[in-house]
Amino acid sequence: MRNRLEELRSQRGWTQQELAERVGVSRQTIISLERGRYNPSILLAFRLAHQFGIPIESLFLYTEEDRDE
Amino acid sequence: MSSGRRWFARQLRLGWWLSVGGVALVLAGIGLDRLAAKLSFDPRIVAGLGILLLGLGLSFLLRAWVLRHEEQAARTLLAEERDERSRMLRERAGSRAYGVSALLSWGGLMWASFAHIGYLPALSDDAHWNLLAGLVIVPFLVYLVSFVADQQRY
Repeated sequence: MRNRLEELRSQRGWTQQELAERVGVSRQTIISLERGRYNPSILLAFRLAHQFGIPIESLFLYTEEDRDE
Repeated sequence: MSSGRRWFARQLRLGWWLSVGGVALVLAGIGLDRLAAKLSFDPRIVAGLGILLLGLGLSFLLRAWVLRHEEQAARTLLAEERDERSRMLRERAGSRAYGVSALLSWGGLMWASFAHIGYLPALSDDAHWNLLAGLVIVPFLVYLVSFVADQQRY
């Protein structure tokens, strides 16, 4: 699933490690999320959206292609 | 109490319980060896299990001791342990290892059953030992390979 994690993180000047600490995951998970290799749990998705102060659907972009995953 | 402190306290508690249990088993093993003359099993097995538990307990205590002032390192370790992606990778690897373990056990059981009725050659002592060793080593290797491969994938 595509997401705007890297874009929003860069806008705020946060490192991957900083964001990882803010939401309580490893830096590797943030890297995987930004590369679109890993889809987060609903809880982590909400925590991330909460950090950026935006709705979850503005952070994670669901498309029809994601249906088959 | 913060989640980091709770984790630290749990590590210490677990370390102490395992260590005390390990020492008790070692003492029980030594005691059985000295006091009970005719046992149907070797009491060194009990002492050996105790040494294993003691080693685990000490590793928990040592980790907690090393990290007691390293707040950043403790936070990173805690995040690693709780990290949902790492947990998913561990679960997937564990599931595959379990599948292979079940398959090997089933194969061994089938061979033993057919050997018993003469359809297959009986397993020698060495073959039994190799099968049992394989039941431990092969699933462990599957776990490792699966974990590393999924690290690249996810």
